[in-house]
Amino acid sequence: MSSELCVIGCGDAFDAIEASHAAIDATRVWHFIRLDSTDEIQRGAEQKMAHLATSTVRMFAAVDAAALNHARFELYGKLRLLGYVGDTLIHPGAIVDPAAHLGENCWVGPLAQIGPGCRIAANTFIGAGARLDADVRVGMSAWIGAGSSLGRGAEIGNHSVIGNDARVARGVLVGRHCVLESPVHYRDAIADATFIHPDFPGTVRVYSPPPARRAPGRRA
Amino acid sequence: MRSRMPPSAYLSPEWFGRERDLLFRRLWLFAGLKTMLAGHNAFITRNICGIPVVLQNFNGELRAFENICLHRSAQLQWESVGRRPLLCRYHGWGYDANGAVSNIPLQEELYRFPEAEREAMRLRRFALRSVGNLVFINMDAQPLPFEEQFRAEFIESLESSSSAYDGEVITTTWKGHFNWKLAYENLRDANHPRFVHPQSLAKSVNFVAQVDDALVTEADIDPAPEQARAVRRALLQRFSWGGPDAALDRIIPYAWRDNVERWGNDDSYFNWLVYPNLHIASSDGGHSFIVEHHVPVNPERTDLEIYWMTATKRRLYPYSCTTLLSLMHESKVVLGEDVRIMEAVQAGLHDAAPRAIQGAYEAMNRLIERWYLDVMEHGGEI
Repeated sequence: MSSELCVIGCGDAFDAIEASHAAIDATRVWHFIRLDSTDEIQRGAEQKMAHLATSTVRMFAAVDAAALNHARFELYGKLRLLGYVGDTLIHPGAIVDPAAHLGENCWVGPLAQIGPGCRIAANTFIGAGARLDADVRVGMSAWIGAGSSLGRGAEIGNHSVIGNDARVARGVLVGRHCVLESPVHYRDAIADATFIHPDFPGTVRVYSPPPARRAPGRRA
Repeated sequence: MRSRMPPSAYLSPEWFGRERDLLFRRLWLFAGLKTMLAGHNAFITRNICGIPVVLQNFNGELRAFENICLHRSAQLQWESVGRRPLLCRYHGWGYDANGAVSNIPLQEELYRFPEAEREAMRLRRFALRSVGNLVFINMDAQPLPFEEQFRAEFIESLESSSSAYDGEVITTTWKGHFNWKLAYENLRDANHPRFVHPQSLAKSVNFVAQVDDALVTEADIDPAPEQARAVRRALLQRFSWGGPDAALDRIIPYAWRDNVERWGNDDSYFNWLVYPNLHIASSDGGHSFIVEHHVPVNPERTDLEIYWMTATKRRLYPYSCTTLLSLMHESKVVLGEDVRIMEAVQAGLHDAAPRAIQGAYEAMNRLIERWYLDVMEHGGEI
């Protein structure tokens, strides 16, 4: 593992990592680049790392769940395209079973528990005190809020946000691009692009037209 | 001037039943968005005037049927939006674009319907009209012509603006505890935003309530005469209008707006009021739209089915659904303020409540009341 790591971003996750970096790994050389807001990502924030060599420095994009985690995904993607390799950071107070697998640019907050057989795809953040039982699968660029729990075998789709203190029952499938902000117990499958928020008593859904069919024999 | 509307018009289940029969089952009503019906077998289901309705795409043709299987009365489509053939889950009866039974599994073995009887089996079909991206239906066996409910220039404006809606839509239902008529009365009251929305809508838009003297005189003619059909329809056309409503001081240049093809170039707040129960607005000069459908559930309950969409995308962008989510949260503030005030009005109503006192600027609502009561009291054709 590279001894140098640059954490770039803003928000609560960035603050938490900066505050606890010495406890995470006191032997590394840490760089912190704090962005004013996620707007900076669109304005070339990756250039702020230009002085750090891709061969010797790893990166960590630390941005909260803004725009269904697309803001963090955009920053992470830009840095990957520049040649940086992402790291994964686990707070020393978290418990991660050795048989769990985490992709790069994942953050596991303090007191979070990740059970055996869990597979967490890249760029997913797991908040403080979250509990993931055995064999949970979480897609790329997701956000698992503080204090939430995912029952054994639950699956969370790409870019979805599980709000603080929400509970997803054992084996429940949550689709892509979902936001489950109400801190309740979700016992049934949740379709792609579903938003459940305490401000909106009814379920909120996003519908998209089916993709246009290509003419036969033509390539994209 | 006292309102003509008795409190029972907002409270009575019997009155509500008459409204369904005399008004809603005769008028063209909004039923859904065409973009949600894209592709063969795409469908949406609704409950309109207590009747389950399915709108289904048959190879590009949109049709509206009663969503009930002719065999054992099971609903044919269950989900609110989906894509599957018009096929009953109970015993597998299938239906074609004309509502005819196209397949009865085990017909010869178990049912043995004579051919003539089978051919006569038809789902109840409703008239359907698409205007741009808006789909309307009429449940009357002999529907009034669409062009006699809405003026030509209004239809044109609806068609043009709704054709600009993007196909990605965020939707939810809000359960309001008020009578549906309070919604149209509130929407046609340009004097309420400064009091109900001082920290939200009224901060960015200055709606100006005006008095039309000729309209005041017309609306005050009393008692309401029993109207001939042509007069009723001419009046009805005037209850729906739309276009730029108020100038916007500025349009915030959010990044997502670069990704959509704005409808027009007018820096205005647009409103389209579609009688009886549809409201469409664009609060940002044609960059995005909200469609509010006020669905009467009972005299004191109205479901607000709401759709938000941007104007058509110029290019796909990855955070488009979060743009819709933020539009929803933004307009939820204004909508919440309206719902609270309408619920407060409803909560104050009782059988012996005094009738509302209306001012000159409320002449359009008075005219609608007169027309509405004429229909409710005398029946007859609209």
